[in-house]
Amino acid sequence: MRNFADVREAGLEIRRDLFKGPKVASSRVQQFTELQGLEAHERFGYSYSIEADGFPPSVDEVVDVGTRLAFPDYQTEAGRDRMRRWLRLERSDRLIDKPLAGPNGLTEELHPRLISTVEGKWPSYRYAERMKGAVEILAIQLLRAPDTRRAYWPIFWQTDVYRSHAPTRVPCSLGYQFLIRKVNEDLVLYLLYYQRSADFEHFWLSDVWLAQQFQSFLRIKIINLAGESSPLCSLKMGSFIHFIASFHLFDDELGEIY
Amino acid sequence: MNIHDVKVDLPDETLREFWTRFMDLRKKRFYAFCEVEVHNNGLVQPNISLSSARGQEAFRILAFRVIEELAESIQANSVEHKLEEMADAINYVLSIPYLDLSIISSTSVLESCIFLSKPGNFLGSQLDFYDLGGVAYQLGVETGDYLRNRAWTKNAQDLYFVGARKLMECLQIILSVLFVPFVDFDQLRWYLIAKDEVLKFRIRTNY
Repeated sequence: MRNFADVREAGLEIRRDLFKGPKVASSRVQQFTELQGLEAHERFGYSYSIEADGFPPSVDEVVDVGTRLAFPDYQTEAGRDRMRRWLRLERSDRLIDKPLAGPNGLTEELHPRLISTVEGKWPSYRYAERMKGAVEILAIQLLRAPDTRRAYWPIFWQTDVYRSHAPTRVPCSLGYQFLIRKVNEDLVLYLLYYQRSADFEHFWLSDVWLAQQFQSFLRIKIINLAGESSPLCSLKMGSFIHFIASFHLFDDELGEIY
Repeated sequence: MNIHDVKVDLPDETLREFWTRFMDLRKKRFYAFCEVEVHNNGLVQPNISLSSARGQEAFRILAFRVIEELAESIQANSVEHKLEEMADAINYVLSIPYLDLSIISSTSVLESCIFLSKPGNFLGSQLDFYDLGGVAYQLGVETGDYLRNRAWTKNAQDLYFVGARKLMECLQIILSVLFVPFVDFDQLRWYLIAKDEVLKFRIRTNY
């Protein structure tokens, strides 16, 4: 497993690792096959970690990293503004305990092909729906059994399998697992993030940052619920560990990578 | 991550100071990658006798890596990419002595590098497949002729490697070819140090 100090160096090196991977025929997003002959460089079973303090703390800094890493969605002021709005909204919808908001249309604005996968007026799934209650429930479970290996929150459901063949929306994330382990004298919260598929250029940065925000929100929730006498009241952030079954990079978006 | 993403500090130093420093860096990186290689049952290891079948196989592997990097350099489009691959090829050439320091000492390679770093040896011109053929000939024929202890024969044709002098000549010829695409010594120095920084990063991040 590659071990990176921060998101920037991870992004730079992962792009190269993927570029060295074999080319496979691939649809772009959610089984859309209108772009025949499209190829992607793909690595199977790719994994890496990023140190706990290696993430940008604010949305503005994430957008800055995306711009510096030359991700296509961050290259114009309009694009950066869209990403800022989307990241703020997604973080809030996914992680803050409040009545579930309806679809906001920003996801479809970012990825226009997804408009045709909206069923009626509602997307077939949203992270906000599937993560509803995740922070609270996981925090309570981890407080009851800090050493559990069962603190896993699924995003990909059985019903998604029935749509494997279809040009409709299913999540790229399989789920998030949290483990608390003692490192020296500290209790540390690790996130293991599992994805079935990830398009590096368009989705990696936001997927990773929102997952790490989940870890951060969960840690704060555990500390708040723990009480001063609990060893969990000083819970530390641990590494972010990412496993991706098919990690890919589309050939038509690349320059010379070496 | 590549050479353009790392910080390169180039102190004021003489040719001798640079090459002494760089050979030390090369040794460190070579040993570090060999530690990884041993876990993967790879053959390339430091201090492996070039008289042994295994040592000679290790030489062939490093020789092929030189050819591979040179070919990548010739195929690359941008000048930066070409020079970065050339730095890789030079690194593999400079690793060869560490296979068996009793055959070629790092000091003799150091002296060769100093000798070859004269301004006239840097032309800033691109290499082509004729150069690749020349380098392959030096490694495969001129030196290869002395590699007589083969893993797939029951009896070695030569019990001892007797090609030390020829090997040193070949390495000098190959280095002189690999220096040609750089415009001057400072550019070569920049690429070698930048690439070393990238290799340090790769070792740190479990490449």
